[in-house]
Amino acid sequence: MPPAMTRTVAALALALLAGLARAETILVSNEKDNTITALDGESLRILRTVPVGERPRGIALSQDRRHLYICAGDSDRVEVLDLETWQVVQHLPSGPDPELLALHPDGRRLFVANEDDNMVTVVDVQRGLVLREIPVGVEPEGMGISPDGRFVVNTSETTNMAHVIDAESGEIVANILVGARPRAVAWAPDGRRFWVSAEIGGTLTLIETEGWRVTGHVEFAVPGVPPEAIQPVGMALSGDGARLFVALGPANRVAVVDTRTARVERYLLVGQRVWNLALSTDGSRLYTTNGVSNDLSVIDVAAMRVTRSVPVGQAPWGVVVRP
Amino acid sequence: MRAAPSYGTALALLLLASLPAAAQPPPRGPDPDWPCVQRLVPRLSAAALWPGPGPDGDWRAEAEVAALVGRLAPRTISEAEGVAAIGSFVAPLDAVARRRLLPLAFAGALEATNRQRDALIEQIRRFARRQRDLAERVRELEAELRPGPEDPAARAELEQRHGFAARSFIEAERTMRYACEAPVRLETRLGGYVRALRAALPDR
Repeated sequence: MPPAMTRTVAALALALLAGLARAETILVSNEKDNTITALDGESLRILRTVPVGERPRGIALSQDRRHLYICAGDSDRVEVLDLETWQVVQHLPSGPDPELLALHPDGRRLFVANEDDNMVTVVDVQRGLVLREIPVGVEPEGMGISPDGRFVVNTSETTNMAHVIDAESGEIVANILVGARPRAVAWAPDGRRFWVSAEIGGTLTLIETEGWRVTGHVEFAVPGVPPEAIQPVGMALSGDGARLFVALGPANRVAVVDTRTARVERYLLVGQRVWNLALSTDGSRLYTTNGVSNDLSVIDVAAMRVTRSVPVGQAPWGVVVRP
Repeated sequence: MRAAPSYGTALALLLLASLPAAAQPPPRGPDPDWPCVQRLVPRLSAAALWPGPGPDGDWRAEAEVAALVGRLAPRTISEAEGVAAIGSFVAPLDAVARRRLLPLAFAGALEATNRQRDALIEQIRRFARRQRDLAERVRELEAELRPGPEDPAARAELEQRHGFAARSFIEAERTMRYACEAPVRLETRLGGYVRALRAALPDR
């Protein structure tokens, strides 16, 4: 082989390897289409659109990343999508109207919030059985499991509380009053505190595990945007825990919060009614689902700029990145 | 003949069982007159859609912009049709004209959308108030049915009225879910216009 050609082949091989190294997939649930959209993490092209149960919202990867657990709220079940064959291979019992879920670090127990019957359902994903139902407040919503797996925090939309559940015993160990209509829960990587977003309250509440005390708040203000449009919902924490990204709903902004000072560093204009967010595996990009503009916004984290809008299905809601 | 009354009774019982929960939706947020799941944002603001400082000047004073807004705004115009109209409007403009006119076109589209949205929001509120009255009526009939008239004919008549009111309520709930989507569809269309206008703005 002539040297020039060898170099070309080598360069191609390198490019291919680099491509493989970043070959992650972005998975989006489309609430009104009843589909999951899979996008290539590099090109942002749609790989496929998979029909699933009705009103898919909360989604989570299995521990081996082979499956996606999907809350199909109006089908009253959790569906298991095989990400190799792209077939729904199992229906898990979940209780009525599952909205959000979180997988325990043991990879076996799935904690599901049932919006309609005020329960958190614990499902064994291997055996497909309900292990336990835990009564919580009215309209359970957000779910967050501490990094060590000891505690599960569930928020209830109407009771305005964060309920701390002992993952082993299923007992509620603390009920903490937070802002109006609490939504998501984000744990700090050290497991010593967590944030709760409040959609109507328009704030975040910071809670320390020691004594389960409220130790701070984050407030938002976007010039020219009325306060009622600022509705904090989904959150994502940077890998080092230094920055918290918060979706602000119909303010069409993502707030970037410095977790040390609890101050907003900046607001980024994304698509309409931003619901949820996920970081790429290397943390360089942030993806947001925008429920009214039906697209995914792509944020370059280093530059703090919105670089792309990618149309997906109708009313995109949940988003996860599969490495 | 025997099947019909038992079917009617079964339906009434089914509705009776299913209704209390449906007839008394939990209060959703701070506005009891707003029946939709998402919290009401009364007006769409320029800052929620347009980066940087808002548009400067009166869009009506520019005849071409006013004509474009007139083409985009009617509710019968689809997003694709409106975006095509923006395309034809933008094509002959140079960079200076684009910088001046496109923010004004945005202001016009926003104002027209807010006006249409106001009307839809008012319709939804009226609908919600009617629905609340209907729920009250169903509850009254349920209260009358519970001890129940002894006379079978009177009871059948009451069941029929209750069944009718309950069905109207459930059908109206479905209509309401659809009605709640109408302002959202307007917002989606406006978002499409905003993307088209921003894409045509020259880089600074």
